[in-house]
Amino acid sequence: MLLFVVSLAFNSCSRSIYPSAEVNYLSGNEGTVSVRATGIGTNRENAILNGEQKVFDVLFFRGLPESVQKLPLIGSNEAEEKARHKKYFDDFYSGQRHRSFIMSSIPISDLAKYKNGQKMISVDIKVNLNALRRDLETFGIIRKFGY
Amino acid sequence: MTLLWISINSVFGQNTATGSDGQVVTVQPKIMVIPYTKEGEDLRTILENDENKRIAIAKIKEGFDSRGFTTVDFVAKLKAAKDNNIFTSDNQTDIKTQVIEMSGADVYVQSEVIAERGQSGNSVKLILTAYEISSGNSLSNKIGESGKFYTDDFNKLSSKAVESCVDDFLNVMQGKFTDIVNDGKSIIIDISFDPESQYKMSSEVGDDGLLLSDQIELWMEENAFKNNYHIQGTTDVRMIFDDVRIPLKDQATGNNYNPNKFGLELFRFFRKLGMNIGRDIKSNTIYITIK
Repeated sequence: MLLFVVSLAFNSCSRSIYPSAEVNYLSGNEGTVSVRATGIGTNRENAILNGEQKVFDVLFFRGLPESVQKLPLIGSNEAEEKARHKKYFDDFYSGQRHRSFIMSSIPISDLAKYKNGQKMISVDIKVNLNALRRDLETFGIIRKFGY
Repeated sequence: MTLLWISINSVFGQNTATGSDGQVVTVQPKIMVIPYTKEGEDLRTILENDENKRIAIAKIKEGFDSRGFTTVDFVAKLKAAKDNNIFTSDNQTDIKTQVIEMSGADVYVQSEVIAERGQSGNSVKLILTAYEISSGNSLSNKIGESGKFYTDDFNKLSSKAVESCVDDFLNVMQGKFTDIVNDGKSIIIDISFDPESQYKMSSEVGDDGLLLSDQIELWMEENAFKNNYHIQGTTDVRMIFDDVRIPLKDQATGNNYNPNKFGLELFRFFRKLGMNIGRDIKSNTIYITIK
């Protein structure tokens, strides 16, 4: 019985917990995409930042259904891609370089209680998709169009 | 120093006068955007009379340009072909095929513009398809729609229809290009015999006395990129490989690789078997005639 409990506890600890991608397509025009994302954080600023970064995670590694970017911009294996281009992604997320590709980021809800003392907020974000793709090409994260 | 120069030259195989310090730029596919035509329709008149089709083509090319990719201009090629009297038939569908062939394009994108009038508004639908010419493999297919508007400005509607799908279309196409980079480019190899030839596919050749068709397949097994090839059929007088994958880059030197270089390898193989061959290469098809 003790062994079973220990094994259960070990299994639950070793399982990776991935953040949910609460990013939904709103509209898109030539070279831009607008989405609504839910961000979670300890305060308003962190929650907005989390929402913004989720948008890029979805565009890079999942693709956004209903938009022009249905396929992931980079690939589905985010762990491998982030490890391969560590410096780029460190700058992009930790260095908050992602903000240079955001045309607007407008909170549309009040900060609400979430879990474990964290708060959540909904944000409408408009991304400059063409500039983002060109940046990925320039830094060799993805190939340019063609072979 | 001389030794170093020789080794650099042998690795990159480039003339010092024209080389670029060993840098190799990948040869890109040539892509041409053409209008859809029904059988018997004159391509040039269709384009000259229908500005919606011209707008759609210009907008699609703009999509390629925004990705930093230059396409082959269909109208310029058509004009050059007519000026040089290249066409041999009055059949316009044949002319389309001939323009595609003479353009040297690897991929063509066909756009069909359908203008619809209705009481609840007018709209334009667009069917976009991309094919790899050598294999006929489909690279991308999308249908674009302008949506219905109370307007007679079909030019604007055509433009909207293209905008609705071109990015997605190019993304799917790029996915297929990635597959080609990883798995190789598809070429066709057509092996036949000169009427005077003493050989047939069932002839026993080589030191091990295997049938010629078996020798060819064993060679293909070793030389097709990632062992990826498909035999369409073999008879005593012909053998067709309808899909042989070759790499985009020479795996030893890193230089660009093409069907001509693969044809050279085939030539060496037949010469090793003590056979003379004729070799013709048209676009991505290698025709071998055993003499």
